[in-house]
Amino acid sequence: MSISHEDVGDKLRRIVISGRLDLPGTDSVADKLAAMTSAPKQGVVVDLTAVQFLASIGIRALISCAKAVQQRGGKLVLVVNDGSSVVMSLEATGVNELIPVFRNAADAERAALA
Amino acid sequence: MPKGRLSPDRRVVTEPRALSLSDELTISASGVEVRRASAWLDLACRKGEVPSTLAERLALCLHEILANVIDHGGESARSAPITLALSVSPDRSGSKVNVTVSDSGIAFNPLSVPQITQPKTLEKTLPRGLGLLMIRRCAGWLDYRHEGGRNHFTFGAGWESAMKAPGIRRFHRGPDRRVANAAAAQERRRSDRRTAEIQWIPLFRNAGQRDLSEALADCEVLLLPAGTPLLRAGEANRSVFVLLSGKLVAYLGADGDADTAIDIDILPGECIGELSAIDGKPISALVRAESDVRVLQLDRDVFWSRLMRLNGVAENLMTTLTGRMRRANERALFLQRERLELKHLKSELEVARQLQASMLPLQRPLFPGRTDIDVCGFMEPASKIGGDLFDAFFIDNRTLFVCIGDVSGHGIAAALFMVRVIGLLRILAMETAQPEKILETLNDRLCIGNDANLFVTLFCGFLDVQTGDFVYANAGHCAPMLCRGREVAPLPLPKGALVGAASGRHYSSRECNLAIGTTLFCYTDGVTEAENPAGIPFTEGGCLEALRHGAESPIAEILDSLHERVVIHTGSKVLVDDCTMLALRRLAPAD
Repeated sequence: MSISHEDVGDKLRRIVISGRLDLPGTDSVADKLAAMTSAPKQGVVVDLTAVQFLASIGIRALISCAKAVQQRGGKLVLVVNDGSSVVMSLEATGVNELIPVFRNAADAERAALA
Repeated sequence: MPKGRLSPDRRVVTEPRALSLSDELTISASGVEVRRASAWLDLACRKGEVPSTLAERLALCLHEILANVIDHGGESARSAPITLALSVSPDRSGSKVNVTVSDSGIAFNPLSVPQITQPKTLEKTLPRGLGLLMIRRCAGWLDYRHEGGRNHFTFGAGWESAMKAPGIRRFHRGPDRRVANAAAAQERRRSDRRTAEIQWIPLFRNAGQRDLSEALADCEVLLLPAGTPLLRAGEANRSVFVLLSGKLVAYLGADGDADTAIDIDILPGECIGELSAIDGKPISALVRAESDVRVLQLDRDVFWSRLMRLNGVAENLMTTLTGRMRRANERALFLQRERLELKHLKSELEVARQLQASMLPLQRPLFPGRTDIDVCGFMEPASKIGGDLFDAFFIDNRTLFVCIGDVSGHGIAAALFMVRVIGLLRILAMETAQPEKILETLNDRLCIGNDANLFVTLFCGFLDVQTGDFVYANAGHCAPMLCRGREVAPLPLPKGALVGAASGRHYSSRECNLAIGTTLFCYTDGVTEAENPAGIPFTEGGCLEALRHGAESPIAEILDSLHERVVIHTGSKVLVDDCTMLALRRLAPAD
C-alpha cells in the first residue's frame, strides 16, 4: 500500500495510490489522502491504475475528498484502467457518475483544470 | 415433470465439464483477517474455475459483508470466529458458486435494509449504504438466515458453460449399447466425465467409477421448474431422487395444521424418497422445488439391487439419512421453541387485557353507599385487545364525573394509549369543573409524543347529583341517549374534534338537567356497529328499541339485555369490537 503526490505548477496535484483499498489498506492511506487533497490546488487527479481492489470504505474516502475539493471550488477526478475491478466497484455504487473517471492521465488533468 | 425427448444428435453432444468443489475458512473479526479471506476466496475461485470477473465481484461482496460484521457486529461478533464456506457445483446449464459467511454478531439482515437510491450529485452523497449497494449489484443472488444465534449470509452467482445442456440427459445411453468399438471407447470416456460430475454426491463416495457409471446407465436427470412438487404426501413412489442442484424443501405434515408443519431443506447431494422406497409405504411429505432444480432419478430396483451393492454406498446412505434426521430434529426443536414463545406472548397479552379491564370501574353497584344515584358500566372486550374506556367517580359529595371514550385501532398501542387517557382524565377532572377545559388540556398533552398517531373519541361531563344539572363536552364521540320513561332521544352535543389529532383545539360545553328517573345512556360504536353475518350493523335504532323496551328496569338490567341483543344480532359470542356502555340514573330520595 503506498500513496504519493506531485504538484504540476501551482494549480494541479497528482496523487498516485497503489495496492488494495480494502479495510486495512484504506485505514493506512485515508489520512494521507485527506491531507493531500486539502492543499489549495484547483485540480486534483487521483491515479488508481495501480489499485487492485476498491472496497466501499475506499470509495467513501474518495467521496469525502472529492466533496472537500469541490467545496473550495476545485475538482477531483480519477484515473483508472479500463475493465479493471476498480471500474466495477465505481460502477456498482454509481460513484462514476459523481466523480469524473478517465482512462488516461492527460484527459484527467485537462478535466481537473477545466 | 418435464420429460423431454432426447434429441437425435445427442450422441455428438459432449457434456460440459462441470466441476464440484467446496472449501472452508475460519477467521476472526478484524481488518487484517479480511485480507486472508480475500486470498482464500481468490484461490478457491481459481480451483473452482470461477470466471475471473465473477471472482472479482464475489471478492467485493465478501469484503463488504466482512466489513459490515466488523463495523456493526458488536462485541458478540468478536466472541466467536467467522466461518466462510464456498461451494462450486454444476447448475442447470453451467455452474454456480455460493459463498456463505456465518458470524455471531448482532442479528442483522442486510436484505431488510431499504435499497438506497443512487445519489445524483456529490453534495447529496452520504457516505452510507455503499457497501450494501455493492453487494446487491455484484452478487447474482443473496440469502440471509438467522439460525442458532448466528447470521448466515449467502451470496452467489452462476455462469453458463460454453455448451447448453439439453433438458434431459442420461448418464449413460441405454439403447445404444451396440455401437462400434471406437464409439464405445469414446462413450466410455464421456461417461467417465459424466461420472466425475456426480462423484461429489456423498452417497457415491468411495464407489468405483466404473461400477457407478454402469449402475447409473439408464438413470435420468429431471429438471423441475421452481414451484413444482417432486413428491406428494400419500402417493406411491418407486424412485429415489438425488438432488444435484437447486433448492428442494420437504414439508412434513403440511396438509394439516400450519402450526405443526415442519419444513426441512434438502441439500444438494442428498436423497429424497428413500424412506418410501425402503418400506414401500406412501410418501410421507410434500417435497417441492423452491428454485429450478435438477434431480437424478434412480429406480427403486436399481437403487437396491445395484447401487447398494457398490462399495460404501450403503454406509453413505446411512450417514446421509442420519444427517437429515438430525437436521429435522433441530428444526422441530426450533419450531417448537418458537411456538412456545408465541404461546407465552399470548398469555402475556391476556394478562395485559385483564389489567386493562381492571382499570375500569366494573363493580356493581358502582356506588353502593349512595341512594340518590345509580351508575353502572359494562365492557365486553373484543377478541383483540382494544382501547375502549369509561370512568365514573365523585369529585366531592355531590359532583359526579363521568366519561366514555374509544381509542382508534386495536392492539397493545391502543391499550397503552387508553391507559394514558384514563390516567390523565382522573388527574384533570380533579383540577377543573369545566369539561371543555379537560378536553383541551387532554388534547394538548396527548398530542405530545403521539408517535403512533392514535386518537380517542371522548364524552365527559360533571353531574350535580342534588340538582340534576349536567355540564358536558364532547370530542367526536357518538351522542349518548337520554331516556325519560319510554321517550328516548340523543343528547344534543356541542361541537368538538377527536382528541390527539392536533394540539391547540378548543372545545365548548353544554348543559342540561337530568330529572329524577331520567337515564343517561352512553356507549361506544362497538355497540351500534356490531354486524350480523350479513354485514348489517346493530345501529342506533337497535339501541333505541332496547332502551324503550327496558325503560322501567334497573339500569344494570338494561345494559345486560342490550348486550344480549347485540350478541344475538351478531350471532357470535366473540365480538369484533369492544362493546362498552355506561348508564346513570338519578333516584328519588328514599325518605
